[in-house]
Amino acid sequence: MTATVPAASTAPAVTVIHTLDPAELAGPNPWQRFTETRFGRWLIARIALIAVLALQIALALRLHNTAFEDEGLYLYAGHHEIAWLLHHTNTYDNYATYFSGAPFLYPVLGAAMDGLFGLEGARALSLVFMLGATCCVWGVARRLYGRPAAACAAALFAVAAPTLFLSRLATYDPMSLFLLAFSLWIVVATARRWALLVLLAVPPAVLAVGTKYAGLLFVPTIALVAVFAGRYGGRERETGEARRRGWLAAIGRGLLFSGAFGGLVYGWLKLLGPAYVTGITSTTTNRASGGDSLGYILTLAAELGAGVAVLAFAGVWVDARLARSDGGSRGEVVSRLLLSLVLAGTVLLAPAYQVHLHTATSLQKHVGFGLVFAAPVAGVALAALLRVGGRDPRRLGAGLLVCLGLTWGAITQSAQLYDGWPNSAQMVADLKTQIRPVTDRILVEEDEVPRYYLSDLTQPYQWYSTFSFTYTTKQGKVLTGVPAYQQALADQYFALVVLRFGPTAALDNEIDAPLMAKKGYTLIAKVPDSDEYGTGYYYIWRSDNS
Amino acid sequence: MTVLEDRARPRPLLSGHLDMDTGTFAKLPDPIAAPPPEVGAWSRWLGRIGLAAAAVVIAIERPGPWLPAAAFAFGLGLAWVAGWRGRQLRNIAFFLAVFTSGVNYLSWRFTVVAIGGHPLPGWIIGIPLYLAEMHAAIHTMGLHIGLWPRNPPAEPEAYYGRRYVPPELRVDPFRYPIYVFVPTVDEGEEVLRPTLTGIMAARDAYLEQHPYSEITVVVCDDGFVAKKDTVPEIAALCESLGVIHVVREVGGGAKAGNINHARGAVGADGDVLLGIFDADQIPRRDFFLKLVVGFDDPDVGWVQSGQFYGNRTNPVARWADDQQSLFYRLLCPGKAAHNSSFICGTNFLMRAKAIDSIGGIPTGSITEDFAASIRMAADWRAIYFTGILAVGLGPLDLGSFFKQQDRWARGTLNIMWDHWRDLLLPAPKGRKGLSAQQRAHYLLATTHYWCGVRDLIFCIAPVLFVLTGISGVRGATATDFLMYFVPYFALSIAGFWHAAWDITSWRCIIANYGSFPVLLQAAFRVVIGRKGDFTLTPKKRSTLSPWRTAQLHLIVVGFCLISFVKLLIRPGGAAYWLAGFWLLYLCLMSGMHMILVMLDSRQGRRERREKALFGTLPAQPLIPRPDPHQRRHRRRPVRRLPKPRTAFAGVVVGGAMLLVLDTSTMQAQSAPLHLANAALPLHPYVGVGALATPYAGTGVVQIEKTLGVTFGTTARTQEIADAFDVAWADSVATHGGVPWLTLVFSQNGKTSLDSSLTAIANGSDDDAISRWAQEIAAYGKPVYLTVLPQADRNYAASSGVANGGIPQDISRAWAHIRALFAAADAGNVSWVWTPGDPGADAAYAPPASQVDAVALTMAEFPKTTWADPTTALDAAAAEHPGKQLLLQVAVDGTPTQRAAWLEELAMAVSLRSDVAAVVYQEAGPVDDLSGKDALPWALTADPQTVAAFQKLSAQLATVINR
Repeated sequence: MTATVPAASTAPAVTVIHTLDPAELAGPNPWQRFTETRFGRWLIARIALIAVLALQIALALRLHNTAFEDEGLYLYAGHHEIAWLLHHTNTYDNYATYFSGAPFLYPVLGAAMDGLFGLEGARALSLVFMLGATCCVWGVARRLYGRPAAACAAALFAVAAPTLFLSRLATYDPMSLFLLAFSLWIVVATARRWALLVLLAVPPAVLAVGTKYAGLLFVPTIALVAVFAGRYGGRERETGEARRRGWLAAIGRGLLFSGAFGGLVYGWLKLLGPAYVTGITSTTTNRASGGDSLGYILTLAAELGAGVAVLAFAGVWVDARLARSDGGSRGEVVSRLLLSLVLAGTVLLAPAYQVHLHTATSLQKHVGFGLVFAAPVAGVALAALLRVGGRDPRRLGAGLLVCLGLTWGAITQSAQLYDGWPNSAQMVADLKTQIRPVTDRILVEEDEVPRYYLSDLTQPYQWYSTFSFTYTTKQGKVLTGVPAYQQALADQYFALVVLRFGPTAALDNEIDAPLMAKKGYTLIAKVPDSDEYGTGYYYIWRSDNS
Repeated sequence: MTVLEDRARPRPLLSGHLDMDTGTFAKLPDPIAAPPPEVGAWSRWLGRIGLAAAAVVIAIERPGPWLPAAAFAFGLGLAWVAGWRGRQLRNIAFFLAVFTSGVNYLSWRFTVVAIGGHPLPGWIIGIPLYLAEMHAAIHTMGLHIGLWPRNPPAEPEAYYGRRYVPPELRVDPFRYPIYVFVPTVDEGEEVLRPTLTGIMAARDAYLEQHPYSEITVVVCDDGFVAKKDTVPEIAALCESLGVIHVVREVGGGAKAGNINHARGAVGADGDVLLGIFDADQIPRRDFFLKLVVGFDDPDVGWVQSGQFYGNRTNPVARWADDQQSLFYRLLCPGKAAHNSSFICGTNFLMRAKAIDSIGGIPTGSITEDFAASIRMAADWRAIYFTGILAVGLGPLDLGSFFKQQDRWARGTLNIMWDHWRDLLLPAPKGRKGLSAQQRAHYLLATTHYWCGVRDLIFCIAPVLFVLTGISGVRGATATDFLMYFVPYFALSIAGFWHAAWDITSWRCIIANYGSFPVLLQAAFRVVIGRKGDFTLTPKKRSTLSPWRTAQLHLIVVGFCLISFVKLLIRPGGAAYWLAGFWLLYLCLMSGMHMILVMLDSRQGRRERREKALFGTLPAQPLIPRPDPHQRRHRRRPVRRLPKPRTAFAGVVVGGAMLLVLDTSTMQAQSAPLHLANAALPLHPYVGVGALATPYAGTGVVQIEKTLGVTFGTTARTQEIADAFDVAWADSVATHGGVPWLTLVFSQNGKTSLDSSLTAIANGSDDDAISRWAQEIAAYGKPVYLTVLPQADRNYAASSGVANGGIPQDISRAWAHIRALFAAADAGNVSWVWTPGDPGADAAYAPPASQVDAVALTMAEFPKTTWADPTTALDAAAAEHPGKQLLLQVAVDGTPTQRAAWLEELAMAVSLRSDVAAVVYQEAGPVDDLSGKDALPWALTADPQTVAAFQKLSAQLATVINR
C-alpha cells in the first residue's frame, strides 16, 4: 500500500471545463403569457367551474332510458301546440287545464328540439338549462361568499342526484329551475347597484313560475335574498368600498321585486283566461293529497338532498363565525346570518310542502329546486373544510372524500331515478308492428309514451289509457270506470290492449278477464320490463277482429 | 404558478373572510424555517387507511370510468380552492384519477383472467399477464404517489426531505471534516483528471467560505488488484493535483471494499462526512457548499444529489440521460419527500457515523449504495438535492448501457432477495424498523427491474393469442375495455407525460423497453441464485456491433409481423383487432429501439473515422440537460395582421380553392344514374328455382347440364336478414337473363311480429329493406323482385288474412317497400306481385301502377285435379291487364302425367305474348330440398319429364313476345 499526502495549500488552481450556457434572462413561458391575457385570466379564474360543468355533462350523459311518461306527454303536447300555432290544427286536448306549467312555454321549446334532434335533442336542452343553473349557482356563491365557496357550491350542485336526473329529463323542471336560478343571480348581482335594477329579476322569475307553477314556492326566497343581499348597496366614492343600505331600503328593494312579480303574474293570468287558473289550482295550489307516509317522504328527501342540506346548515354556522370574526356590526352579522339561513332553509321547502300534500310524486325534481339555493351556503362549509389557500393535503383529502362520497351517492341515485320507469323500447317496437293509422283504438296503461313514439303513425284520438275512460254501448248506455273498460273489451272495441299491471294494477286486474279467457283477444307478446320496483311484463293483446 | 384575477370586482358582498377574490394567498411558511403544523400519527394513519379503504371499495364496486372522471374534476377544483396551482394542481388531479382508474381496472381485470380454455389452459398466459399488468399499474400509481405535491414545490434547487429542526438542536454542519473518495479501477488519467480538478475546485470554493473546514480528497485505486497498468499514471496525477492516492493490494468487496479500505487507511472515522464520486463524475464548484448545509440536522445520514450525463452528443448517453432524468428529477424528489431516498453510489455526502452504524459500506451487494440505504434508513434521515451539482459520462455505446442496466438490475433485485424481511416484516423487538412510506418506496424500487419479465409477457401475449388463439383474457367485451381499460390507459399515459414534461422525453420509455432482454437475463440469474460480479461501466466503445444487442428485439418484430399477416389473412373479431393494436404498439416500441441501435452504429463509425483521421477523439464539452426549471423562453415576435393586399389575395385564392373543391359543383356536372328494370323479353325465359327458404340454387348448373338447356332466369327465395348475392345474380345475367328474387319477412323459416304487414308498413323492417334496396341498386342490372308472396293466403309469412293482417294492409306494406327502394334509387327492380290466386285477387292486390309483373304459382299434387295452364294464365292476364306474366310451376305425379302437363303448359305459353318467364320449382312446395319428399317433384326425377321440359324450353324459344 502506498499513500502520499501532499499539503492542501500546494494544490494548483483549477477551472471546471463543464458549464451551462451563459445565462439569459428567463422570460415567461407560453402558458404564462396566455394567462397574462384578458381571456387567459378569465378562463383560469373559471377553471374550476369548467371542470365541474364537464363532470356534470359526463355524469348526466351516462343516464339512458326511453322516454318518461311526462316527457312523452309534454313533448307530444308541444308538437300539437306548434301545429296549432302554425296551422291551427286541432290539438284534441285542452292541455292548460291539467298541465302543471303553461303548455305554450316549455312544451313548445322542447318539441322544437325534439323535432330537430329527437328525444336526445330535447334532453340536451334540459342539460343546457341545468348547466346554466350550475353557472348561476357559481355566480351567486361567488358574489356572496367568494370564488372558493363558489367552486365548491357549483360542484355540490352539479353532482347532486336531482341535478343529474333533471339534466336528462325533458320536462318543465330544468327550464323553470334555470330561470329561478337566473333570477336569483340577478338579484344578487344587482345588490350593490341601483335598487330599481332588481326589476330585471322579475321576468325570469315570472317565466319560471309560468314554465312550472310549483316554481312559485321558491319566489319568496328570491324576494328575501333581495332584501338581505340588498343591505349592501352602491360604493363609497372615495374608497370604492361597499356602502350599506338601511333595513328599510333593503326591505323596499324586496317589496319592489315582490310587487312587480305579483303584478306581472296577475296580468298574465287575466290575459290567459280561466283554463290556466284551473290548471294551476288542480296541479299545484290545490293539488289532491296523496297517500304517501311522512316517513317515506322524509327518507326520500334525505336520500336526495341531505348531504347538501347538512353542509348548507354547517355553512350558515361557518359564515356566522366568519361574520363575527370580520368585526362587523351586530346588524351586519344578523343580516349575513339571515341571508345564509334563508338560502339554506329553502332546501326544506319542497319536502315540507310534499309532506303537507302527503305525496312523494316529483319530490326528486323539487328537491333539486331547493339545492339551487342551498348549494351556495353549502359551498362555504366545504371551502372552510378545505381551508382556502392552506394547501393542506389532509383537508384536501377530507374535502375529496366528502365530494366523492356525495358523487358516488348521486351517481347511484340518479341511475336509480332514471330507471324509475320501465324501458319501453321493445313494447313500442312490438306495438309498432301492429297498429293501423286512423282506425285502430289502442288501450295502453300510461299511453303517453307509446303515443309519443308512434305519433307519426297515429292520431291522438286513437289512444286510451287505464286512468279514465267513458264508453257508450251499442245500446247507447254511457259507462265509466271499470264497467266501461269491461264492456269495451267484451265488444272488442280496442284493436290493441297493453297492460303492465303498474300504476293501475288494481284496474288491470279487474278488466283483464276477457283477455285472459282469450275471448276475442290474442296475446301476441309478453315483453319484460324492469324498473326500480322489480321485473314485470307488458302484455300486448290483439283483437281477433282486427 | 399562481394566476389569479387581478380585477377588484366583483368582490364578495359578505367580504372579509376569503382572500382569493382580492389578490393572492397568504405566503406559506418555509417548511424548514418554521415548525410544521402538529399532525398526530393518528392523522397519518387515518389518511393511509382512508386511501386503502377507498381502494377496497373501488375494487369491490367497480364504478367504471365515472369515478376517475369525478376524481379528476374534483381533484382539480378542490385543490385549486385549497390553493394549489400549476403543475402541483394537475399532479393532484392526475394522481386521484390514475389511482381510481388503476384500482378500477385491476379489479375488473381480475374478473376476466382466463383460467380454462383450449388447446392449452388460459392461466398459462392469463395469470402472468395479469401479474405483469399489475406490476405496471402499481408502478404507475407509485410514480404518482411520489408526485403528490410536497413542500417545497418544484424549484431549480431544493432540498427534499429536509425538515424543521428547532434552533437548540441544530448543529454547525461546516465544522465536520470531509473526506472525498474517488474509487477507480482502470479509468486512467484521461477520465480521472477532470473529476479530480472539479473536486479540487469545489473544495477551494468551499474553503474560501469556510476556511476552518477541512476537505481531504482520496483516490481509491483498485488497479493493482485488477491487474491494470494505470496505477503509475494515477499516482502521478494525484501527486500533481495534491490528492491522496491509496492503492489496495488485497482485493474483495469490489467498490465498497475499496472505499472501506481507503477509509481505514486515511482514518476517515468518527464525526466526519464522507463524499464519494465515481471516476467520471465531475462536481461543480458549489457541490460542497450546497450539500453540507443539509447536515445541520443531526439526524441526517446522507445528502444525495443527481447524476447527470454531459456527453449528450453521444446518442446512447443521451437516451440513457433521459432515463436518468426520469429517476433523478422526478422519482428521487418524491421519494425524498417521504424520507425514502437512497444513496445512488456517487455525488453524495454521508455521515461517517451513519455508515458505521451498520458496520461500514456493505460489501455483499453489487449495489452497495442501495443496500446501505435500506439498512440506515430506519435510524437516519435522508435528503435529496435537486440541483445539478455534478456531471458525468454516460454509457458510450449500447453494450456499456446494457452492462450498466444489468448491474443495477441484478443488484436491486438481489436486495429484494436479501432484505425482504426489512421491507415486509415488522422490525425485531428493540430495533427501529422502516416506516410505511419507506417500505412502500423501497419495495417499488426493488421490484422495478422485474419490468424485463413484464415486457416479455407483454410481447408474448398478443402473439400467442393471434397465432394460437390462447388468450389470457376471457369474457371481456369491447364495452368493458372501453369502460375500464381505456380510461386507465389514457390517464396513465397523460399523467406520465404531464409529469415528465420538460424533465425527460419519450426516449426514456424506449430506453427502458429496449433494455428488457438484459433485465430478463438479470432476473433469471437472480432467480437461480447467481449474484454475479461487480462490473464497471466501460468508458470506451466496444468493438462489437450494436446490432448484436438487438437480437431479441428483431425476434419480437418478426413474430409481430407474422401475427399481423395472420390477422390480415384471417381477421377475427374485436379481440383480434385489439391484439393487433398491441402488436402495432410492440412494433413501434421495438422499431424505436432500432433507431437507437442505428444511431449507435453510426456513432461508432464516426468515431472510428475520426480516430483514423486524428489519432484520437476530439474532446467534447460536458453539458448536461438543462434544468427544466431554468428553461429559457424566448419571446416570439408579435405577429402582425397581414397587409390588406395580402389578406385580399388570400381570400381570393382560398375562395377559388373552395369553389374548385366543392363537391356539390362536381356532382352537378354529372347526370344522375338511372337504372332500368326488366323489360318483357323477346322469348320467355326458362329456369328453375325453389319455394324453399333459403334456396341458394347451387344445383342449377348440374340441372342445366342434365337438360342441355341454358336458363334465362333462376328463381331464388331469401329471408329479409340475408344479403343480396351479387355473384348469383351475375351468373344469371351473364346469359342475358334476369334473376328472380323472392324476399320473405321470416327469420329462419319462422314468422314474428316483424313479419306482419302492419309491421312492414309501419317501418319496423325499414333498416333491412333499405339495406336490400341499396345492395340491389348497387348491383345495377335488372332484377325481378317478389315481396309479400302469397299474401292472400293464411300460410304466408306476411299475410293479409291471418295473424292480425287484413287485405288493406297489403297495399300499405307494398307501397312502403317500394318507397324505400325508390329512396335508394333501385330503379332496376321489376316488382312481381305473386298472390296465391292472381286470377281473383282484386281485394288484395296493390294498385296496378305499383306492379310491373304478376306471377302465377301452380304446384300440382298427385291425386288432385290439376289446373289448366291456359285457363289460369288467361284469368291472371285478365285480372292484371298489360302486366308481364311469370310462372312458377311444379308437378308431382306419374311421369306421363307430368310430361303431359308440361306439354299443356308449353302450349298455353305459346298462345300468349306476355309471358316473361317459366320457372320450374325443383321441390314444389316442400321446404327440405334434399329430403325424400322433394324427390317426386324434381324436374330430373324421370326421363319423360326431362324430355318434356326440354321440349318446352325449345318451344318457348320460338315464342315471340309483343
